[in-house]
Amino acid sequence: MNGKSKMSWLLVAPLLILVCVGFIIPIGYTLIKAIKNPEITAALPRTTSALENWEWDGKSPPPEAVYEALIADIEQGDRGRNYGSMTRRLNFEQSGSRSIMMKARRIADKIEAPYAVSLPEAVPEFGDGDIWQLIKQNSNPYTARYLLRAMDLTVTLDGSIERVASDQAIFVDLFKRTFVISIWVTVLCVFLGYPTAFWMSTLSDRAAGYVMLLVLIPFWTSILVRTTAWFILLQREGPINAALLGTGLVDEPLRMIFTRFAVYIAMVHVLLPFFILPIYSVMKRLGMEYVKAAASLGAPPWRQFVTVYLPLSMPGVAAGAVIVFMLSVGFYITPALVGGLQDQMVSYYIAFYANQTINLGMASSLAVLLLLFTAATIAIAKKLLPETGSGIRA
Amino acid sequence: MMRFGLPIFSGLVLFFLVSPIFVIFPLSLSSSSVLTLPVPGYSLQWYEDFFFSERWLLATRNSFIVGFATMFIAGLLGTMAAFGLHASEFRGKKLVLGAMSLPMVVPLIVTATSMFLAFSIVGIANSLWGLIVAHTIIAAPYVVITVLASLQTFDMNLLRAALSLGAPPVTAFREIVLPMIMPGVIAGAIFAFATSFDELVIAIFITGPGQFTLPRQMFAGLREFMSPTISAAAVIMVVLSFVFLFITEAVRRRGERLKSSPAEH
Amino acid sequence: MSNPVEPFVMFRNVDKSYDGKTNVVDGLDLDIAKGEFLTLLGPSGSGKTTTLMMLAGFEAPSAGTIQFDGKPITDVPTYKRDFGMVFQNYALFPHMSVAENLAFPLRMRKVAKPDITAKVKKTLDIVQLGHLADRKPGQLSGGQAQRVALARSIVFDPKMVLMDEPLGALDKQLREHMQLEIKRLHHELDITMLYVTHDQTEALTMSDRIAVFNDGKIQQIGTPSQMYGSPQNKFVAGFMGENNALNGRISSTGEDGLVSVHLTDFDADMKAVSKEPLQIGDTVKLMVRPERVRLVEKADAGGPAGAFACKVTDTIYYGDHVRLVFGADLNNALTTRVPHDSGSRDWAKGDAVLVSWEPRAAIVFQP
Repeated sequence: MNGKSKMSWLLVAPLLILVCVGFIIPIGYTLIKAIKNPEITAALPRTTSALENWEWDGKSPPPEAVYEALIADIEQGDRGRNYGSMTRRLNFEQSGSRSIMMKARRIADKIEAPYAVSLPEAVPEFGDGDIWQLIKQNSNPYTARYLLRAMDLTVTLDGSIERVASDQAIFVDLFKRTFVISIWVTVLCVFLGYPTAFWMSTLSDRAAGYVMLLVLIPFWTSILVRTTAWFILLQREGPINAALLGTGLVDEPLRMIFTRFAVYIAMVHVLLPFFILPIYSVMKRLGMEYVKAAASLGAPPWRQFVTVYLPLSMPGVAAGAVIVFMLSVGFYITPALVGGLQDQMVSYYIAFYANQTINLGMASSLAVLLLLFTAATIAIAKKLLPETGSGIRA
Repeated sequence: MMRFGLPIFSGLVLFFLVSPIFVIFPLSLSSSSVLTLPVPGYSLQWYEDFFFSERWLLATRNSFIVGFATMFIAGLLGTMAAFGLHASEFRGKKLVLGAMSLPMVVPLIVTATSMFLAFSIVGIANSLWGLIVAHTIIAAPYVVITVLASLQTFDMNLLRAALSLGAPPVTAFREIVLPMIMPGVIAGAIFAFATSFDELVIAIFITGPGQFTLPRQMFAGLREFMSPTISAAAVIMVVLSFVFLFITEAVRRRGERLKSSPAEH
Repeated sequence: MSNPVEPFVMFRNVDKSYDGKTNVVDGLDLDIAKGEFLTLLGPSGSGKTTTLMMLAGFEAPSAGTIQFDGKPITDVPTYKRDFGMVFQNYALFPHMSVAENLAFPLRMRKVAKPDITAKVKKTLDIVQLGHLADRKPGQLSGGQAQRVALARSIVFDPKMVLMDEPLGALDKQLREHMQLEIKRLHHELDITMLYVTHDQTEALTMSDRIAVFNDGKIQQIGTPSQMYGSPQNKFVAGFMGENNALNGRISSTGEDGLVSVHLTDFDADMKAVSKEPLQIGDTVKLMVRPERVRLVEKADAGGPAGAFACKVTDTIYYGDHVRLVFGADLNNALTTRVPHDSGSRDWAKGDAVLVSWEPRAAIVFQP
């Protein structure tokens, strides 16, 4: 390594280390967290190892040794946190498991050996193999169950993968919805932004400078502030409804806030500058020379546009559209504030699982899928538009 | 039809872009607690609320602390890294650049979740330090990009000349390179400040009430109870955005003037 | 140039490779004497600039040693080498005035303020730019900027001055003027100068010695007249000045260093100097400079011995002279210059002439 590259590495190192430690390692940790499954083994170490040699036949319960192990785990283990996490974990797999395990803990010191008899007497669910099979299935420190669940799939007691009950199947719809909303936002941005950018590119430098401010002001204004503005504007008693009522266009206030309409209008408002800025710079560079050339060669205005200007400005459109789509896929604040529950995107559920139910496995799994979704978007975009690779970060 | 259609269409689009931002100005001055237009009367009560509320003042203070710290750290590390990337062709350069721009393409919610999980382990969640680290990481790529862009137009022979004239590398960087790329450094640093000042998603994940920033406090206000004080806070943030915009535009114009001066011939 | 003392600058067996595979500079041995004006001449990519960059300390040699004043300098960083340097695009600091640019190297050497002011003024006067001290580089013309760059490279009394195509950005007239100016400075200051250029005229007019580079190697080194008058190989012969390169085959060899060559495109036998051991029947290129080709009108029968007849295929008007082209194949044509004055005759396409040259004026090389 020569002196110059050594100096380069020294200069790059501080930021690189910070990004690695503060960002790349955490992301990697999240990827692992999506398949980590420590709760059962942590709370029931004896039970899970006793269950290792037991084969579930679909019906009969395990031998006495397993029952003894469970009682020992309850009595000698940490009764608080670990046990609680374990019951929540089991309940996530099979609702109702939590109360069964809680009952077991309550009566553990009141029953006598042989537990294979006394425990089922007190809690009948322990009399057949299902709950035991559930524990056994989840005693591996790694699991694909979160990722499967994020795709509305689950593992049955006999080990096969099937779709979850329709009332729990929300995630496939969620990803579909995220995709649909993002596509529509992108289409709307292109539809509104392309003509506007074109018009701006035809202005004199001076005029364009002032008009550009109208794009830069929203660009620099925080997303939350702009969403707040829409939150206020779209209220039942808000300015828009007041105006509509005042002019007599409607008889009663329109319901706009907490609707899909609100999500679209606010997201387009937030993301439109991200489309206009790159496409404007492409159009500015493009100029009108080619269109003039086409006109001089006899093309009528419509064909000048379709055959010359549109293809030439396409790389800019693609770059801007990819930016808008990528950003909208990860949107959280705007839909969370102005949308209803039916308008929430993947990010909302990641935040929900991470902050409200503290189901980190689920939050991580959704994050992993969202990450893959974004990576796939970038990969497809790069494949389709190889020459605009650098334009993407315009 | 095209002749008038296009300007009218564009005008409407631009109106759609700007008007919501300006609507909050009169609303924040309303004497009514119902946010509607036209406002029944004007008063400064919501600004009073803002400036006499412990919570809002703490949030403002936190935002400025985190914003300035992010600006300095991201500005420093980003400028160093950009210069290192520009100064030589070394093996793994593309990989380094890729790693540094990852925070820009990874959805913020994923970044926030990951940092929340990791920062909780090392104990810097629920601290301003954690937020500063997080904001520095997401803001630094923008500094790297803007500084790299201004280095593109920097003539590396100037650095060579300085070295040949007897300037040690650090002096040469400080006296020759830095003044020339200053517009890029300032633009990047302002963008870093603005990024931190506006950032909410990570703040939701890794701050407790004691570390609430201005956007975080606004978000809490919006979800819990709709107080018009929020419109005053929003106006304050918009005004700050105008300041950022004004500074970057001024710096950009100055940079362009420098560039267009006839350095050769 | 017999030199009992060690040369001022000494390259020994120096290689430079960027990719670890191909050597941009390959096994370079080069000595520079104190006070000398040495020019490195060659096409782009020949290794001349890399050689300069290694001496300046911007590039480290991959192998070999570079000594300066008897001491190896490979590990000395650029800023401690004390070499003035002039760049093609001047590399004046745009945010500093002319005077501040000149003061920079003195400040770096912690020279006292009043001394700096005096020295800057004195040096600006040397390049006749005293009146521009407060200008910014952006307000200077190309020639002025170049002179400031020159002044900055000498203001701190460097041990030598390195120039990397310093006149490349100037127009022809200004370039010729600056050549004289640099030459004058060299004499006045009695300083060692290493000059890199791809312009052979510049090299010929300015240098004490010229080293012609190609493919990372020095092809030949010597005084301008040596380089022009007796090139050692085909590359140098072709690169230094204009030269005809005619296809031929050795028809006989002599012991006086002269060979006879049968010129394939002109069906004539001519004598020429051979610098390489050649056998009868070898194909060769015969190099002869246009101004050494003599013409005799066919009408004057006879003519000098060893002349051959051919017809003018084209005439090109140059103002001070006319060029005549002979031979059907443009790529292997023979051109000659004839002065254009009132007494000379007008040549036209199709005129028949006898062509000849002094045997010592032509050199053959393997193709």
